[in-house]
Amino acid sequence: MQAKTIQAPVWKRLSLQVWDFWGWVTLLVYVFLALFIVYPLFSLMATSFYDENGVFSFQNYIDFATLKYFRNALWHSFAVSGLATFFAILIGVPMAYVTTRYNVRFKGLMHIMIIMSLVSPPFIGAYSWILMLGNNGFITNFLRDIGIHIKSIYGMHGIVFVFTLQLYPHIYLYVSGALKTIDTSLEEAAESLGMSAWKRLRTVTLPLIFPTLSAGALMVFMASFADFGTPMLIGQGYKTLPILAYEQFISEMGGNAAMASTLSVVLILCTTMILFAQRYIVSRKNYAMSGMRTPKVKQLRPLPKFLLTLGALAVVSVSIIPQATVIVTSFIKKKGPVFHKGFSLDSYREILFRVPKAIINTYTYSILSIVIMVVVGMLVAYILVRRKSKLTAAMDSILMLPYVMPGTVLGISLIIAFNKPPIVLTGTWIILVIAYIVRKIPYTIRSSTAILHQLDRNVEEASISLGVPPAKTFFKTTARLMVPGVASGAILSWVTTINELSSTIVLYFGATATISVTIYSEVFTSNYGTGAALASILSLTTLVSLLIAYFVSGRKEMNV
Amino acid sequence: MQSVTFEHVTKYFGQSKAVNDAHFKIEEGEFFTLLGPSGCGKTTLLRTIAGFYKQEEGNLYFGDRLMNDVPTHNRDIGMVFQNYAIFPHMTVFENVAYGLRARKVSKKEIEERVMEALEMVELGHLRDRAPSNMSGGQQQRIALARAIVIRPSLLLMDEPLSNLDAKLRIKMRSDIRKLQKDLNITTIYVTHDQEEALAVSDRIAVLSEGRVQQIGLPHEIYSYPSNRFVANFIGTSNFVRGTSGQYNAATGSAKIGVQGMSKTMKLTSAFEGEVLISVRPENIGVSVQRGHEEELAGEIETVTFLGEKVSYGIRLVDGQKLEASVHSVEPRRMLREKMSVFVDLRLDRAVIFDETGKEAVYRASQDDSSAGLETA
Repeated sequence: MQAKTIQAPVWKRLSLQVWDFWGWVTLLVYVFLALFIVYPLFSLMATSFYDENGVFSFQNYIDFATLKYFRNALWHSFAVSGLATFFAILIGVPMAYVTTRYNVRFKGLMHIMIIMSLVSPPFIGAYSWILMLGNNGFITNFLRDIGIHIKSIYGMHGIVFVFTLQLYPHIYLYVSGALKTIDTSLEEAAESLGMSAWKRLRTVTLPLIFPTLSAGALMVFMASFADFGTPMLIGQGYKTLPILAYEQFISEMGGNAAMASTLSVVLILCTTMILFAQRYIVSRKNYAMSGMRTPKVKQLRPLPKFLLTLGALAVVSVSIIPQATVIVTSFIKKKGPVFHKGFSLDSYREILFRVPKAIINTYTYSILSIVIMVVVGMLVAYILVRRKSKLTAAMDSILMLPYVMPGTVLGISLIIAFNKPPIVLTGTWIILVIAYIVRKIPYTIRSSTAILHQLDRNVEEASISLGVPPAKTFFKTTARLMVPGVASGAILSWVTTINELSSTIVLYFGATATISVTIYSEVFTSNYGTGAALASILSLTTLVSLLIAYFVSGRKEMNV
Repeated sequence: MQSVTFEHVTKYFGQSKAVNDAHFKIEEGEFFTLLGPSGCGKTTLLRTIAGFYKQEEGNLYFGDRLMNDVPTHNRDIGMVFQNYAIFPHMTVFENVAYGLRARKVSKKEIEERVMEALEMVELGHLRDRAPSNMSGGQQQRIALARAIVIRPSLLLMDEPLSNLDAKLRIKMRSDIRKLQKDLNITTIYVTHDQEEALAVSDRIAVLSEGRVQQIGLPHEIYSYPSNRFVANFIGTSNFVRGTSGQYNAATGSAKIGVQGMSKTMKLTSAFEGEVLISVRPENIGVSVQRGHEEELAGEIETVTFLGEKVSYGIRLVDGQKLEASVHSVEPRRMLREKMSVFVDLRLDRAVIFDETGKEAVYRASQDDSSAGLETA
């Protein structure tokens, strides 16, 4: 026996750890990330530095900086996103405060309606507001008949309006979560110091929930900054960056991939900058709170209670109107694209006859994607939580990239990367499934890591010590115990996948069209009835999925 | 049944050594305890044996077999965790049968062996229950049954009793001890509770800061601690400053002085200079009248009545403080605060360390130390 004083080399120290089952999983995940996130992103950046003749140049960026056309789009994007965020806060915070602090009625119903309006695709909201407030919308017509002329929904104000109603639920969900766990003794301390209720709210409560509020605001800003459908449908002349990128890429004159890439890079730079800005602000204003005493729900007298309930219901109703409108519209009798009085199933008959493939496509691609997302998401979560190392920390960062890549940008980057050898995927359904996985898997991963943090590591070690190899142990114990937690994120991945438009619109071709792109083209060709029928199918699927999740999870708090 | 040999095993966490040069052997059928405060490396060492960690340096053997690259699931071990680690999605029976199913044991034999194991831990009647609502004691019995049913060559227990309440702990530890002797499984047991370690173990290894401080029989560790850490960690010890002088190489003895008193003692190693004398509270004699020359003068500062014993806080003339405990004192003979007393340190029963406390220069009896390989 002789003492070894030299430390074994790194490769030897790692040998047992790395090349087991999890080592291979890590490798495969890295291959996937490199191929479908990193490589497309680099292709996108590379393309943005070449002019039409394939010569390296900064011309695209110079064009962007000098041409008003492009600069305006950037300004438009910031304007609508900023305003939408502002109004979403204005609606979302009071909604959260009222429903968490006062005994208003119908809380459960409002909660699920708010979530419903959040997960329905933005373009469905935009579309139904066109049906109501468009140039030929039924409210517009009704008001015109009685002599009132209102501005139609088209234009910047319409985009902001739709975004606000669509996205304030983010603020509501984040803030009501924070308000429920805030340490109420801080508020009581302020009260004992003689602060009025309003000042208390402004000087204590709001600063305490600020980090959470800013996370919600970030979600609103990012979603509206990246959205494609809404500005496309009701922006008309008012163009935002994602639209411009899309138009540059898919233009009838052949398209300008280089300029589209440049715009995409600008988009990513903006979203990244905003993400870091939010992180920076929060890091300076984060308070550790030990919410030992959570706030009580205040019992109101009948009249204030009635008024607050009414107010909250009014907000929720307005935000759910689009869904209702779409569903009603889908049943209206019609001849060709023209609506008639009375109800019928004409629109449904027509879509079954004309675009059955889109329905099949949506469900097959989404089911395939969600299965992969759940399996891969659980494995990735396991690596991130249980196999912490520099390698997995890097993986975590790469997985953040889809957050800052708008759907349109992801679509463009995938096409640029995979429309030429060595790997050609453009025009296949595979590229759609890949896009869905990359974009939507973060929800599943997030909920999977959350549940894993709660699971006792010793349980799987007990299994391994009893002679069951690590991989088998994962599937026999850990994976089974993870399922309830994973489900909450997976349901979100699922509903956002079936509703996905912004990357699909770039990546699909005739045979791989999904419901969402079909709605989009139906609306563009003024086939409102069929569009509504398709949208209703999506809404119904979404609602049923949410309800199943709601009841399966034992009516626990639904977190989005 | 299996012996376990550590050959200069070192495990790093980053730059620090969680286990530092462990070098000893655990014999077949032995109940061996790793004892130490939290962060001393005892759990790390156990998990290295299990294969959840791999040491960067040194070799680990089960019997003659080198285990360094054998993954956990091939090590043939049974393990019991502090927080039970019961499979919550399985019944009691399925939990215990889990390891047997992995070993492809026939259905009939599984039935027999699981029930036998459940009977051993007195849980046969609960076989079809879901474990999640069962008490901590019951869950830990399931875990124990699950570990022994596979008849492992090695049973590893990581603080199995520390989540249980005090009474149950005492019953469970004697049950575990009995089960281990009946089954004759080499058992390695981790605990921070010295009383538990003394009660169950054949031998104990005391660890601190990744290093094995001492390995020995329970009474050896208690009576003859090899350094200040062990003396302090096991039971309570008084540390009295003194000197060692006039070392005589021929006889191996030196004069040990404390506060003007001195006594010639035979040292285990040549040493002159400052020393630390470790004295157990129960080895200190306290009397109102001076009995002999070697006694030190002091004053009672505190008197604490603890039922079976009385604990006195005594301040010596030079300001050093001692704790002395006297068993079964008649109430009327109890000493009172402020009384002047004479203290007999009974140096021959004490352990004397060099000034750093790292090494003993005198221990009461050296002959019966069968402590095996020692490091430090």
